[in-house]
Amino acid sequence: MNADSGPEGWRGLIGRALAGARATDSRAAAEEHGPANWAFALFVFFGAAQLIAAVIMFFAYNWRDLSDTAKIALPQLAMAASFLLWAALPRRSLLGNLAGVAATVMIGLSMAVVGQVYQLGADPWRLFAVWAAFALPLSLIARSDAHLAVWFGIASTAYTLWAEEYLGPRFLAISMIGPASYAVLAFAVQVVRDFVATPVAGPQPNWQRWLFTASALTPATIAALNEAVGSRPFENGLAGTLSLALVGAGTLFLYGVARRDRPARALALFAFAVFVGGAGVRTIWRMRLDGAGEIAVGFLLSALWVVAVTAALAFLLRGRRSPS
Amino acid sequence: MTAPSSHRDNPWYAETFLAIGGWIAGLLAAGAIGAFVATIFTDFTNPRAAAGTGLAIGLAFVLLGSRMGRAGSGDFRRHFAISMIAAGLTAATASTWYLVWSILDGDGKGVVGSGATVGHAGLVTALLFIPAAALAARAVKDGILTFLTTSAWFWIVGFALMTLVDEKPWGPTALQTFPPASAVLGLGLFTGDQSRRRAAVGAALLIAPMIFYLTLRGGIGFLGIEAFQAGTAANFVFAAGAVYCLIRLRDRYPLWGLLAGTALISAGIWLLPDSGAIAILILLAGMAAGHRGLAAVGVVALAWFVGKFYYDLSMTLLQKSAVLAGLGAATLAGALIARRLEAGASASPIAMAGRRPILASLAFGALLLGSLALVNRSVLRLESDFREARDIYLPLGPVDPRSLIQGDYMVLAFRETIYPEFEAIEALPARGEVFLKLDGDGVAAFSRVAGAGDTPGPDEIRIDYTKEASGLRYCPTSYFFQEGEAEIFNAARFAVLRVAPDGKTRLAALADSERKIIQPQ
Repeated sequence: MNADSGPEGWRGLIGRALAGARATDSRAAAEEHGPANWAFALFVFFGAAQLIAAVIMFFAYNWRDLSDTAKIALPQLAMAASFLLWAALPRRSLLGNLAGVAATVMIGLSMAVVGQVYQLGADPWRLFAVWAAFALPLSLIARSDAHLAVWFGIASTAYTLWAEEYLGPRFLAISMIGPASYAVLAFAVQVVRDFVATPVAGPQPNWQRWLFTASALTPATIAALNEAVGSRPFENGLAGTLSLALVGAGTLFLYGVARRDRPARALALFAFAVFVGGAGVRTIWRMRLDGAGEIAVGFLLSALWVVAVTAALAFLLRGRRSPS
Repeated sequence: MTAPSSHRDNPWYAETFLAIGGWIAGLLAAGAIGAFVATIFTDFTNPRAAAGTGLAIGLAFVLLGSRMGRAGSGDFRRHFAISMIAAGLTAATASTWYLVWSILDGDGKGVVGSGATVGHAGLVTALLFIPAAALAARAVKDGILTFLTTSAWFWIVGFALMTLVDEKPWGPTALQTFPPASAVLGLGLFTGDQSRRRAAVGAALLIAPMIFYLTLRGGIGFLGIEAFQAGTAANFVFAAGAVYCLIRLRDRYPLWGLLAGTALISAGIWLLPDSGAIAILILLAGMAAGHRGLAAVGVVALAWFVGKFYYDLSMTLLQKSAVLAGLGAATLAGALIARRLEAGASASPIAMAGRRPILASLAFGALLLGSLALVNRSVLRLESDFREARDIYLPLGPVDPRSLIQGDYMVLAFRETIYPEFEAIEALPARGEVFLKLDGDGVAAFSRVAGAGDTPGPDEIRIDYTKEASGLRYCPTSYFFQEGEAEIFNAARFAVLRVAPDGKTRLAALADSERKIIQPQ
């Protein structure tokens, strides 16, 4: 966590207010977690990801030779076993955390297998929504940020499927309503975790802050760019642009002013640079460029514009001697 | 992707963002050079002269960019110089490639030459590219520029070898040798020397082969070799690279932990597609050099490959499940054991102090029980609702994709005969009932919308519907089956729908044109 250790003043006051009671200095955290630790974390992440993927693929095979009852019972038994392991292991045990995540994954697999057996339809948003509804309280009880990230993935899938099925068709005039609304919600999750939940759940780990922030900024940037570079800019609304303005500006304020987190701030700056660069190039090419000579000028102006945006980004990205 | 900078204050992710900007600006400026050449040579009657002009302008851009980059350190100047050099090298490369090909091919009047001469011209161009790029990189001393030019060189050679693969007997061997050789060289440069530019060359030579393999199999337009395999020798090279990285990590982990890690990683390299093997190598190189940026590239790439593995058809889901379970269990066990034995580690990750509060365990268990209750209640309801159901046939036309977590299924596109007219659908509420008319064989067609108090006629059946953007929906539009049985279900012409007396529906089976249920043997 990155508490502002700068001079007194409004920045410092806001920073301390937003930093939460249990925020710690990230430099100290970085020293504590050296290369060996993050290498270890990577291996654990991949081990767990491979195991979860293996279980999903096992059930996705859709065994015809297994009876329906056996198919339905298997993930439920795996869930029970995972729970027992979770309950038996100590609170800060890594294996215990993995067992908790496995139990949560089994909820979704149980529903998925029932869907297979009774032919209830592929990839319904309700499956992921119900799964996410159980996964959130489970992650809170487990007090595990890895568990919360799993919930975030499930909830994101649910929202994306729901937006594809309902939101998009109902708001045809607003082309980017799905990604734009997702971006705002993902940012809200990030803000709640980092600023509201910190006193209870402890400081948010850096990796999770960057994951959630990138998850919010990526669809916002794509949506905003899509609106700006169409044949008639912003013809289908401003949802994406507004979401980028909100999420980008919010990230810049929270992690550039109120509290210092250089990678999160860099992500927001890069998102704005992509939008400004894309919109500028599109504006140049919206001019009537006829013939090879004018096209050459169009390319040249576009290149200059991108260089200017990149240079501005470089200036803004330059370190302010803040912890990162 | 650049290594840690000694004189610039930008971390790796900032340099990556800036490299993307420099690359795009360079491509746009190269487009400007191309368009400018087109204004001079409007009818292209003398393509050699056009290419020569492009080459001259390109080299001028490289020279000007090099001077500008060497002279100052302002942000605009720096990125302007990078973009000029990138543009100049791109234009000079395209022009040189054409010129060399036209010389090799004879008169130079044709537009497309044979694959062999195009490939040979590409290799000559790659050779000529090295001094120009090296001089520019030496003048500007910039990690971003070094990364971009090295990547460009790799792709010139790669494309040249792709065109030669069917033209020369040594073509396939050369194409199989180049990416692993590049990866190993990149690994050595990145981990062996922390000078900024050498590390940037190393990162480019490591990352480019990973993307190259994907491109090779996926294809770019007419280029691409779908059946290409990196080969066993390449796997040995990747495994050797992994061992080298683990040896460099020997101070941080116990020997036998590293040996176990080596076996595990070698197995991963053997089983994952070639791009995945290089992703492992990238991750290990990042770890060995203590460079989080390269490790992050490896993590993102590996996570992507594991996700992509689900849709890969070279193995069954069952085989993949076994492979991943074995690798996952070994990875976790290896990591935990290595951690336990690690010098200075104070506590085992398994035996951390502090029990879970009993209330938390009870709440966790109660929530899981709640989810089980929900799942099993839906099973019981599905069983009871359809105890007295009747089967009807809905005519369809199928295709078959793979779901997110439920495996293979067939998309069911029903015939229009089972739906009301479009205008009538518009007027219907979101949920309701319609009557379908059944012929003597039980094949259904739309009859009428059910009004309040309406009862079905003797040849009709009541059925629930949900209105969606695409129209009415009577049942799920997908049918799951065991992997490998798609062919069997190609014969499907009807969906067998089980309809309960109250109008609820359940998709029961698929049937052929004779309405015979399709049963895999």
